[in-house]
Amino acid sequence: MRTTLLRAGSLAGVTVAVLAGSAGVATADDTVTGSAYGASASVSLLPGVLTGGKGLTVDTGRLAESSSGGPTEASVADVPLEGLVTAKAVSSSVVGGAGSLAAKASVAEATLPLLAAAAGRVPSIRLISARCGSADGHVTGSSDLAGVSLGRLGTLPAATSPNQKLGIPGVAEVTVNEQLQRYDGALEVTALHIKLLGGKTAGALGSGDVKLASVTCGPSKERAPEAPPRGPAQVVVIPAGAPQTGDGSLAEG
Amino acid sequence: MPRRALLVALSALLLAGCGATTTPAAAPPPAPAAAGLTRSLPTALDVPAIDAKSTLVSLGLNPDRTVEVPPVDQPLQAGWYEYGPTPGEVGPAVILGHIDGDHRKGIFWRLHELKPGDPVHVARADGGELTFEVTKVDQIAKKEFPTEAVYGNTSEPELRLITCGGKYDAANRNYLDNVIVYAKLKR
Repeated sequence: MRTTLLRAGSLAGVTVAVLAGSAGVATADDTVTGSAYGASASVSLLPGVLTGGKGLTVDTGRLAESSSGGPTEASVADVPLEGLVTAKAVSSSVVGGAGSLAAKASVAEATLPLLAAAAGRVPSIRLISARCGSADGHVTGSSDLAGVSLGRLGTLPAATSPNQKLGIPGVAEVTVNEQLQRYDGALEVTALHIKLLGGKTAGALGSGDVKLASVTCGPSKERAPEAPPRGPAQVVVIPAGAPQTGDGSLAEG
Repeated sequence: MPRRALLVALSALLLAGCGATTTPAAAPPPAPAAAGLTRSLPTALDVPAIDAKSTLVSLGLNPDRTVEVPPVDQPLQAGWYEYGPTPGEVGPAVILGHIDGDHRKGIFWRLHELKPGDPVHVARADGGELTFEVTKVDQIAKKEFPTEAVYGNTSEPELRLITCGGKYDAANRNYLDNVIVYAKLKR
């Protein structure tokens, strides 16, 4: 459920830095950028897809959006995405700055009335989340879905590798843990992407995209060019300092 | 395994072709690298030796990049650091809990009592019930926090349990030490 992308050209970067004797000190140029949002829907639905519904065209924009440029956290409660999707809460956060970046987005208690006809029931997912981290020249991402009930659409394996698709041929494509590498080295991770394929086949729903829990992490520079290049860190973004786990209310004297 | 047999046979031929006459046909394949489990979020923690049981919440980073901790008014809640591996994956999965909070003992009040060999159980969303075994218990000054030992790459699935300890610096509202438990997945 995790992939790693080595930033293009990173080895060349190391060589140059070593030759130049660079100390690799963090500078403003080391700023890593990223963004996250809880949900978005941009779709045109055919009449009758939603119970008693007429045709519908909606573009919700990005709900609960945050970014390294601020706001760095956002959340929205009780989200009815025009009846296409419902969710108890969507939220996102980005912690960025010099050298590394971490972003996450989550959707709690989601239902997907949009896909009810295709699934034979209203699909539901207890928790959908996507995360990405960028540090030391590596960008990694992962998605986690828990409490998934998709009816006839199928079941997800316990561990979902990137870009796994469930489909309703000609009608919709559901991608779980969608991971897209952009030309600039950024990684976009979307935990659940429902693409309506348009068309006039029986059961057609309409066209457009619904995305739940999406994060993007920009590329970062490698640190410590004097060190030999190594693989990606298992702990993608290492916290600063030491954990503060206690309030001293029972401390002695 | 016919393909492997074929490979072995081919290797033998190649070796023979290079003039090796008595060398065994092929070295045994290297032992597989310590394989971890696939990713799955941890859901619960149980450390029987110190009577610590909790569900697990996901903990990210604070805006100042320090690690988030569970709400201090819920001192019995433990959490897992979400920008690292999940327990069972290769790497150090980090679990944090309070020593105290809101005038109550925290989930890791007795963490320092753990001894090498003690079991630590972690449940995962995929239904997995993992048992880790404590390998080391450290108490160390926060200003010397061993970042690499705690968060650095490991070759096997490992676990870290972390809380505060030592003297409390009331002026700075800060315990001076961390208690850190290192554990390895029991096979």
